[in-house]
Amino acid sequence: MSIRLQQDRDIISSSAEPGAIGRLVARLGVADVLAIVVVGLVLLSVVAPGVLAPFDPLEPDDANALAAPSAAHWFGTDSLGRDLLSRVIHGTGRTLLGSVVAVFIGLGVGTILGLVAATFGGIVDAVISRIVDVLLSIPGLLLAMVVVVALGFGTLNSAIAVGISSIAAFTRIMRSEVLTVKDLPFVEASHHLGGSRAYVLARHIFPNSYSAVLSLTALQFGLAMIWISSLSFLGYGAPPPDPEWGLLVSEGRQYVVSSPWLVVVPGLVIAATVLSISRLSQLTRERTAA
Amino acid sequence: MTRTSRRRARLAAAAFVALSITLTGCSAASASSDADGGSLTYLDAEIPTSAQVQESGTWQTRALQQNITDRLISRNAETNELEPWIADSWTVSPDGLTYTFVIRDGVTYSDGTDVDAKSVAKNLNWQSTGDDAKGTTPNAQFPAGLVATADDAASTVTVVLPTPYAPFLNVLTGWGAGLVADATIDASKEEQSKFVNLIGSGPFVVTSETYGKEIVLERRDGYAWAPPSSPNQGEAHLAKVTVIPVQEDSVRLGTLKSGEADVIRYVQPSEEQALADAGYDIVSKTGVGLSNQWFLRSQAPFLDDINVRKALLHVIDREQIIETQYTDSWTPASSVLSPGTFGYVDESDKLAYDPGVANALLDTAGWTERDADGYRTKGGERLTVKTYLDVYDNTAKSLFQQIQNQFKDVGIELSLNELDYSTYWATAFADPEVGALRVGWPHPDPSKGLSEYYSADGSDLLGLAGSDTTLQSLLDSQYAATDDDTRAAILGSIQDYLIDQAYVVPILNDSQVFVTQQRVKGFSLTDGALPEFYNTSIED
Amino acid sequence: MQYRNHVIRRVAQALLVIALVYTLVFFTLFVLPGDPIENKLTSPINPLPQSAAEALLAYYNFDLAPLQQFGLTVSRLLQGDLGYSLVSGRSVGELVAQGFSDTIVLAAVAFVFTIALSLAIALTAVYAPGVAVRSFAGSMPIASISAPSFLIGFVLLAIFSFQLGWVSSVRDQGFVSYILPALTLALAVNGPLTQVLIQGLRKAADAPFVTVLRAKGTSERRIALGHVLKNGAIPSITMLALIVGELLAGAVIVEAVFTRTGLGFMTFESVRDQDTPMILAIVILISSVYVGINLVTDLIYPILDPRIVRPARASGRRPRAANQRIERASTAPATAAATPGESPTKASVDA
Repeated sequence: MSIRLQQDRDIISSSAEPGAIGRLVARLGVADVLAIVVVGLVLLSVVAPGVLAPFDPLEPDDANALAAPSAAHWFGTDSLGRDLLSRVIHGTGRTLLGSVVAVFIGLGVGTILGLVAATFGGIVDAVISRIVDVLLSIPGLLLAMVVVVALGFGTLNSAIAVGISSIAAFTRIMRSEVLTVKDLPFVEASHHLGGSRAYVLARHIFPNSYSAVLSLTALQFGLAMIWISSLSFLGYGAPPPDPEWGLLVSEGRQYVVSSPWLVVVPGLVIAATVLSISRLSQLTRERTAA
Repeated sequence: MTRTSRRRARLAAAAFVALSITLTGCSAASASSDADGGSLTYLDAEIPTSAQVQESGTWQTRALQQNITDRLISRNAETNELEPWIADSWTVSPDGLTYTFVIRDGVTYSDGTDVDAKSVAKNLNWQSTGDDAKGTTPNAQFPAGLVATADDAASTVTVVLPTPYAPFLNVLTGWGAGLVADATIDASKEEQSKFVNLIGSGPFVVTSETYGKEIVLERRDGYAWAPPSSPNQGEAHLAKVTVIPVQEDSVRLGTLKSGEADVIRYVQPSEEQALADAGYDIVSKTGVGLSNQWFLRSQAPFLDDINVRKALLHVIDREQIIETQYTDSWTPASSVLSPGTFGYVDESDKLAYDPGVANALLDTAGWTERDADGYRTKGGERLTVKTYLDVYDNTAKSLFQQIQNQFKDVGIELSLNELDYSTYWATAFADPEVGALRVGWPHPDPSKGLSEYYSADGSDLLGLAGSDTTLQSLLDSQYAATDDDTRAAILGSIQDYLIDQAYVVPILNDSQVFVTQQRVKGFSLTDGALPEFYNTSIED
Repeated sequence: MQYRNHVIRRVAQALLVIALVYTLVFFTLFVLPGDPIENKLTSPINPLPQSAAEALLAYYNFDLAPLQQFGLTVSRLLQGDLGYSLVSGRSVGELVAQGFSDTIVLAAVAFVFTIALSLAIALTAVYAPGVAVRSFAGSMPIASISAPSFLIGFVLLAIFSFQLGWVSSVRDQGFVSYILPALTLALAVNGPLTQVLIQGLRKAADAPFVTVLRAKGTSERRIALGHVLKNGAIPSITMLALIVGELLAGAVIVEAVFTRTGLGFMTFESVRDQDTPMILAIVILISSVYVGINLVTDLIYPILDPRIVRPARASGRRPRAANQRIERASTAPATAAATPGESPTKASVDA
């Protein structure tokens, strides 16, 4: 099954690339276009927040505290009169960086562990599998909470905590993928043809087992964002004043009855971003699987 | 069951008659249309944790103790004068070493045992020594080495101290000095931590509790020993007070608005005006004790220079902070003590907001260069003060950020960091970079409070280790000053000195803010700004 | 015979995992700075003399070496003594029982909601008339995991408690009080299950037996609800433990939003205060529930789906090439090897 898939992918990526893109664009629905626009805006906010943001995200405006969304302040203002839209835009980079770090840790450590476990088998596999079981049997958020308390507060630390809590998931997928690929005839053939262990691992096993892991990555990226913001919501996140989406939510939480936009708007921004990234990752997957 | 409730009704009727006699001024003041006296739902902002007397440091725990237990001495919330309560009278020997209390007759704990001289002496000894075997620590407010002996025949308790301890009478008025029955003292530490096991002689009794969810207080039948100045001398008007901790500000507010709650503690300052306009009553008070203040550590980077510390006194625009973030319930701090506290001296001239003065002081100190971000530098180093966000203050995030902005206006960077409750003190104090931290809460006695914070034998927050002998000897001299005038003079000197040396930057006089429905009458706050339900009633 | 050996080994593994979790958490908490007692000793609000501090440390056995403390805690645990909270001084057993008895009801209601939601969405995504409806339903799982649950919770609370006044925000009104938080949880947690169901249903709908049934004249409705659903839902059984774990963890946020005092609330409080005995008890309880359900599903799965020679979970056992492929083929949607959006990893929906 995997071999056939692989061949399909090869065909698409080598010879049929322009056509595939053309077909893809033609197939794009409204939702897909929206997702692309959202991700585009998010990326632009990371690269050039100053261009998009109408105000200084740190500049207080005492006369205009807790103002509802209006033409001047699209997202309203916070308790110090700072423009929420500008804070959201300037907070994008920090927020995305957090998710990147989390995914990087989960992906990096998780894949290596999975690869090692499946390749070496035996006692190594047993030990790693037990560690994975242990990590999996503590619900992720709980694990992340304990880790972030251990590391101290802050965006980076919550990102690391979330990363650590997602290691087990990556390890498990990687391991099961490698196990599948390892026994496939072409890999066995490569062994018989005298390929060294490292060569077979790098040339055949790794590339063929990595696709499922990679496709988890996009999903994990969105999840990391939600997790980090949840940790912030509970009060374990970034310290003020530099904006980060989770911080915005937790700061706004106190005002949710009188000024609900302070929670709802950053919450919706998070939701829209995660949704768009997931949507795009699905698109790319459909493309590769087409 | 029927018998008790009939008895309660009869007593309530008696109390009602007594009340209408006392309160002749308020013609329409019926206790309640409800013959039962009504029940009140109170939403606190935090969860009362342990009821163990010596451990009860948190505000929400004190609030309960206040209504469950009585003290020997009461401090009138209006006049701040000491008044008799369970002690009918007391005398202090001229050397300040011997106190004699005459115990009021006819007072009983809610388990039926007597509040007699023996019980009072047992309480005082227990407070002073704790109970090592049970892991019970001494009450830090009480003098060490105290020996209390009871004379049951004369109903007197004699307390002998090894050294004079001027704060003693004030300490006896505090929430932590509530008298409890033998059953409580003799119980294990774990049993003592439950509120149902906190057996006092107060106007309310805890009848049930679910941890974190609710605590039900019911009126104590036959209560008749309120402090003489109390408008109510009989049983409480309310039959029942349900205390529900709701930590989410917005949920507390929403519940009040939906009519489900009668009294809530703390609303965001931004909500206060709208609530007042909508007909809710705002009840607030600054408790006696220490004002909300930042202490400055002179060993921290750049703060060894008194000119830099002094500049910080003038950098903070307290009026602006109150205007933008708070309400009339708050006032700018004018000293390290809050107004109304014994010995308070107004120092506001020395800490007036004046960026010109601050800039001049910083220039004098050599911080004349500016970096790209507009911060002052000297020898390539940026003028930075590190602090941690106060974990005890709901408004700390916005308050600290506004102060950060005001610091920036004169070119000082305030670096804000954040810790959780569990690591706050341990980490923030161990951090040698930390220049300023927030302290300052209500305290039954200013001398004890100041010594706890700033004396080398206390927490030594300034980190001076007694090297400033002027400060240390001033703090030490308070204890022997059992004469009020002498002690007030010393307290004045201490306040002057702390401000003159710019060891402490007073910020605000914190208030406890409560919002009540209009139907709630007679809800008042004690000298320590704790809620008192004894005089409260519900009228429809 | 082989099955019995397998059962014994799996039970032993489960117990080992729980023991490892306990040990790991104990020592992690041990190296952390700060705990309620230390905080008490360092706080300027209540400075204690040195002698009192030593007595206090001795009372909690904090003066012993780490391994001694571990031994003491474990031996007490084996006698059923969970100790006392360092913050409130109450019995940890009582507190955890109080919290769990509340959260288990919440989780049960949320579980029912989750199943109902997932079934409704999955059936719509596979069988609804109209491509638009089907594709909309098909995108629900991703939408569900993208919405932070504090957002859903606050919106529900604002509408039904504060605006409409249908449900009390603080008082316990019995079952009614569980509806909003359970719905919030279900909305957050149903994504992965729904996705697996959709996959399972699609796969089963294309299976040869459907053609046979159709040829026999069985009605489409009957095929869908009777046969396809039955076959398509089997893989999702492996997600049981995952869902329950997510529900218990998600309770931390939901209970904070809805001011409930269940296990989630106690978790939050005890982690915040580093109340070691409480954290240990909660972690051991939750991981036991998780491991226990996993064990049960692993053991009954082969009975439900006879095509599988051995239980289907990908983790925690040595590979055997002989049936590796069979297993993978039959449970692909349920194992972590599935594609994004449907991967039933634990890394799904806590928010």
